[in-house]
Amino acid sequence: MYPPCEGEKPSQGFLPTITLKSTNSSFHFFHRFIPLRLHCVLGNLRLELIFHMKLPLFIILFFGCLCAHHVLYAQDQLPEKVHTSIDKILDDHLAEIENTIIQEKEFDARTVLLVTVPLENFIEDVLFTINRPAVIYPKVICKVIRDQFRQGKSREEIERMLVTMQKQNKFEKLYAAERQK
Amino acid sequence: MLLNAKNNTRMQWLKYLAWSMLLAAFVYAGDIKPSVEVEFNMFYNRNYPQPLSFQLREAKLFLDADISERSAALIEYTMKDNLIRSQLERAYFTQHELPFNSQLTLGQFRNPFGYFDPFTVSHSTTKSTGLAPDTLMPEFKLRDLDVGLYWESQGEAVTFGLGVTNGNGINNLKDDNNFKDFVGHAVVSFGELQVGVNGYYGRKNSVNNDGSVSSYSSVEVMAAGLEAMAYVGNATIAMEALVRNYGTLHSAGSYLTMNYDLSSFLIPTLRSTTRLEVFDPDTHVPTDESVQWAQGFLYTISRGYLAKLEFVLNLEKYRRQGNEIFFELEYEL
Repeated sequence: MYPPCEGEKPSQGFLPTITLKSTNSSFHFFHRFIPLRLHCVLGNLRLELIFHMKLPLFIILFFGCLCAHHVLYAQDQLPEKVHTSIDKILDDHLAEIENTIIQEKEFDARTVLLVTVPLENFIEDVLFTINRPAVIYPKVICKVIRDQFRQGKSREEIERMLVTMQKQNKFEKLYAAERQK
Repeated sequence: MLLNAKNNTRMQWLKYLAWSMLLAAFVYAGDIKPSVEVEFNMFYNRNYPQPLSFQLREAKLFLDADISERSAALIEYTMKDNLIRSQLERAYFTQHELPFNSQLTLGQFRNPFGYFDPFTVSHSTTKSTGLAPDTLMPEFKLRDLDVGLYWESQGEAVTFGLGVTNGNGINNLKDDNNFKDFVGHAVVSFGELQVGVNGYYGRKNSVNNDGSVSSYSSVEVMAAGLEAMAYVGNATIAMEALVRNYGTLHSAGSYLTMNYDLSSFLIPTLRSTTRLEVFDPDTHVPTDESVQWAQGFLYTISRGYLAKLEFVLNLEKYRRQGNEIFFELEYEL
């Protein structure tokens, strides 16, 4: 139905394109299994994937292997302290805190879900824009959220309180106090 | 000639050694955290042949590893422009909790200038502004990446850092001079207000007529910036003013940005971001300034899914036709 796009010039303008091309003959085998064009409902939206050198493929495989390692050896418990400069990793840890509280089934899941988003936004605003790694204390944060819900605080109040505690460096102080005990 | 060849071989070996060390660090790391981000956007600009367009803007692969309680390593690999352009963006090793509450970073990292992404915070929909990294303006590429060593001490009231770098931008360890470049950054905190200065001095390769960086003839490069950040209620306000000299090319720019959390009184997980930017690529040319105002809204739909709406207005009379509207969906794997 569609002519092959090998050797075709990249589309002009801002058409979304993902091209599947290869200058390395070892990849030709895979061409049989991956469609060269995926026409979407958007008419001239074409997806093409480019593998024009070995290094990206190597890096993707490398990341794939490490992802598998990560899945196989995932930790069950919340970590005490995390250093990161990647927002996705920060997001994962904060999501894990919410999931831990939700799984306890003590509070309404809809109230707990995304309660840490303002805290995450604040950390990204202040630290990631200036290239500083963020240090978070998942166990301490989890404990604070749980205690606040038990005290009957509203979601908005808890959101605000988490940001205030981060501004005043209180999570670190609570972590230090816990370690001293 | 012979000396140059010797230097190149030495650089190659240094590069291989650095890579081996980094890979070894990952192999022995206790906790490895890989992640992937994919950004897909739709935008409208009436001046393009096809006003409504779609783009798979960026895909990022991260690998963050905690080697020990005090050390970490990071690899960031980015694919841009519909995955056509790809490069190793960052690769470094960091040792935390050194004396004087300091940390040491070794590898390819972003220069510690003011605020790296002047637009916003977490991934703007437009990064193509003059002051943003990754633009074609070589004088502002100093904000981008270099290979080197950076030491920073973080205190309650004062944070300062010093760095030595070499090379000519991303993945380019060698330049055509023996001079090392120096980076400095200092910030003083007064409660919820931070004020800082940053500076850069070194030699980079010269600039071609089309604005690209030449691989020969080094020129003197100097940069200085003044920055400030404040938290006011639900808002985070940041500003920066910069001047740069890249050989004979002098440029200047500044921006003011405000991120406002609308969670508590409008829609949960919604926030607004506003930016005003002034940029003069060449101070000797009177008509090349740009003044841009951007207003964006960012909504967290669920964990991993973000929706962004952004209006970009060019306030300079002769650039007004370039106004754009963006809508972006971001997925984090």
